This record gives sequence, structure tokens and C-alpha cells, in this order.
Amino acid sequence: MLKTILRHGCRLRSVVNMRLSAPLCNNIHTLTPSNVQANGQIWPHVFVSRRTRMLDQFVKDAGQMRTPPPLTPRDIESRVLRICNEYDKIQEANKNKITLETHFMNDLGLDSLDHVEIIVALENEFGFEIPDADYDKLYTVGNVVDYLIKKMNVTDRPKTTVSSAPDPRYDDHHH
Amino acid sequence: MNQFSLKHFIVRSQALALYRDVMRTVMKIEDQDYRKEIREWARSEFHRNRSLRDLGEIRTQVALGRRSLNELKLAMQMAS
Repeated sequence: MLKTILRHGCRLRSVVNMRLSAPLCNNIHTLTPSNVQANGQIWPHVFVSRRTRMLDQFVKDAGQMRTPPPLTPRDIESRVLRICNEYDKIQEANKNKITLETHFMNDLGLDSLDHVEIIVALENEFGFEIPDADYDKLYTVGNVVDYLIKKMNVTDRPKTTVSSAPDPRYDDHHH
Repeated sequence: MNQFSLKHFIVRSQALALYRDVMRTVMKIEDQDYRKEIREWARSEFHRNRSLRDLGEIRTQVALGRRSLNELKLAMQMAS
């Protein structure tokens, strides 16, 4: 009988030790108002703090699904220039001299097939399909940027939206 | 005499449309090496035939290209 108690007692103790792991066991003896339920039942702080920790993490994870910051015309221009510079058929000499006035065929020596490739790369970058009929309007970099600005309704002053700044309330747990 | 008639213009637009569909499909390939390979293959095929002037030949090539593209799309579907 005694042996059984000791054996089961040891097992229980290991469970209790698992729960009272290092970060939690220093809270075990505190009783705060949050511990106390309405009917007077008291939860050990260790369980309450663990639950609020999980909730904090949950809220913080939800906050990670932030809206991307609003686009500005300068963003669009820089992304278009980046895609053009990444295109492998452009000579090295021309690469960093691409401006808004650059004409794909006349200045960069590309042909209609290359032009298609560049516009498809831009479709991929900005995430929407450009109709076939519009390809004929997009022979210079400036035309491309203006077209994208118009299609994506980008304005100079970004509209105030839900801020993507981190919420300081949930940042006390650092990664 | 104008060598490049309206029919040529139409057939050229069809060829470019095919190239566009090929490139859009190629962008969906996950594997970067495979993507590069298919893109180079498509480029070489189109560039090889770029000097064709006979309408019948061009139409045949475009039809062959369409078929190849359909096979590529099927292969990608089965791979995913």
C-alpha cells in the first residue's frame, strides 16, 4: 500500500513538475485579482498566466495578418525598373540607364517576343493580367508606369487605412 | 506591292498571343531550373521560325505550338 502511494505520488510529482516549468514556477505563489473568479473560486496564477500567454500569442498571430502598405507611384516605378533590369536579354551596358523615356524596341533593341516576356513578367509582379489589346500601348517604360498607376488606382497621398505598424501592446514577447 | 497583308497581321497577332500564353504558363512553374529550360525551349522554337512568310506554314507552326502548350499545361497539372 505504501509502495503504491509512493509510486503514484512520484508519478504525480513529475506531472506537477512538468507544469511548473521554469518560466511559470516563479508565478505560482502570487494571487492577483485576475486569479479570483466571480464565485470566489481561486485559480492558481500559474494556470491563469499560462492561459493569458496563449491568448496573447493568438492575438499577436492574428495581428501578423496585416494589410500590405498602400502603393505609391514611386513604388510602382521602382518595381517596373527592377523587373526591366532583371530581364536577361538586355545588354549590361543598358541595364542601369533605363529611364521613363526608354523605348523597349528602339532603345534596348528588343523585339516583339521580348516585349511580351517583359509585360508578362510585370503581370506576374503586380498580380493581375493585362489584356492582350493593351500590350500595344506599353512600348515605353513611362507608358507602363502610367498604365499601372491608372489600373491600380494609385494616388500620391496614400489613403489612411488600417495601420501596418506593430502594436506595442503585443510586442513584449520578443522572438 | 505590300508583302504584309492583313492576313499576315492577324496571323502575327495569333503567334504573339501564343507566345504570351506560353510565357504566362511558364511563370507558374515552381522549379526555377525547369522554368528556365522551358522558357529557353520556347524562345528557340519561336526564333527559329521567325522568318517564315508563308501563311499556311505560320498557321501550322502556331497550331503545333498550341498543342505543345496544352501538353505542357497537362503535365503541370499532373505534377501538382
